[in-house]
Amino acid sequence: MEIAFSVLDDQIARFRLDKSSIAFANSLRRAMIGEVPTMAIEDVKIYDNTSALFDEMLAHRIGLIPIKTEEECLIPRDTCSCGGIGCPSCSVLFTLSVEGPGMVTSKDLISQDPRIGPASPDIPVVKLIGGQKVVLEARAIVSRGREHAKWQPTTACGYKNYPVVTVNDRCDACGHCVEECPREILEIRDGRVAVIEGRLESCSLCRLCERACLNTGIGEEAGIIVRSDESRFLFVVEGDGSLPAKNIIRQGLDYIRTQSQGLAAQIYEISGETRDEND
Amino acid sequence: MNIKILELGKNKARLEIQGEGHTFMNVLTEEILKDPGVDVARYLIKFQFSDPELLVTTRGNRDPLDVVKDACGRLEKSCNELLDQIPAD
Repeated sequence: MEIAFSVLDDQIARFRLDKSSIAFANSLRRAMIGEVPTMAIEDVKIYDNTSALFDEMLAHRIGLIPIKTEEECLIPRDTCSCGGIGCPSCSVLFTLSVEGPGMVTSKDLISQDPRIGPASPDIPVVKLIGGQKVVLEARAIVSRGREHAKWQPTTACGYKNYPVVTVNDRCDACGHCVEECPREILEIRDGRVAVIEGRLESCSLCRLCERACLNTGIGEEAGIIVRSDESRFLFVVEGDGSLPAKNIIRQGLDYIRTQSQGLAAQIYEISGETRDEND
Repeated sequence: MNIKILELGKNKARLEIQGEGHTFMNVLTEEILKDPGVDVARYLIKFQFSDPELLVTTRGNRDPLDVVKDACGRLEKSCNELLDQIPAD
């Protein structure tokens, strides 16, 4: 399998996965969304809330704020030596104390650990008018998107098949497909329709060009055919700021690898035992 | 990860793989099916919260557990290949 990046920065990664399969691409997508550990606020202790929002609503909104995590700085609660009660090695405490008038934003969450804090400072939580007050204490823990969407490290994460656009001899360069294409990837070159150089990956496989071609009365078969390559995929991974996009991909792959290793080790153990019994 | 063997014959194995979901099981069964000695590879998650049950049957003398082990090895290799290609920081 091969991977080729076209965009790779902290927020977003776009890459092509080659010589792969549908099952692997989907597994990688699911692993990146649901199996990469991140941090989110789980428990909120509200001392004072005279804002327009109910306590539950406020807690929910605070829970959804992405928390920037330095890798491996905390461990999941269920594997911690404290037994899930909550200690500095598996959770981090935030305090928030704001008086109106004004907007409560994510930067008002003050972390006890300087390495950990909200990924973006300007996420609105609740608007306060004069005299309203919010005082609370929040505890963030590490978990996975599989448990709740607030632990997903990604906002947009998906893939599409690599498009294969072929123009055959039936094409008479009428240009209807060029007009119809919503992504504007087609042009007329040398008396024939062709894909503009470097724009093939923009194709959304909508096949409006095929339909436009058939509507010209060309017959049963269109002059332009759009198919998808089943072994190549175009991925988009957009992080919410809690982890760099590269780490999300890395940890997604690492999840599949760890599970394979674990299963192989278990089977090896079992088949080793049964072999002993046969002896 | 814990597994439970529900049935084990010469050409058939039924395993319960605890704590897994579609994310890993789907890619695993597809990988097992790439083996020419495999007849059936399916998994079933009976209810939303139950552990998946993997069924593998093989042809000839191929051991069903070996088939799963080999598929895991191939998946691990693919992941390693991809991880090596991700540029370092």
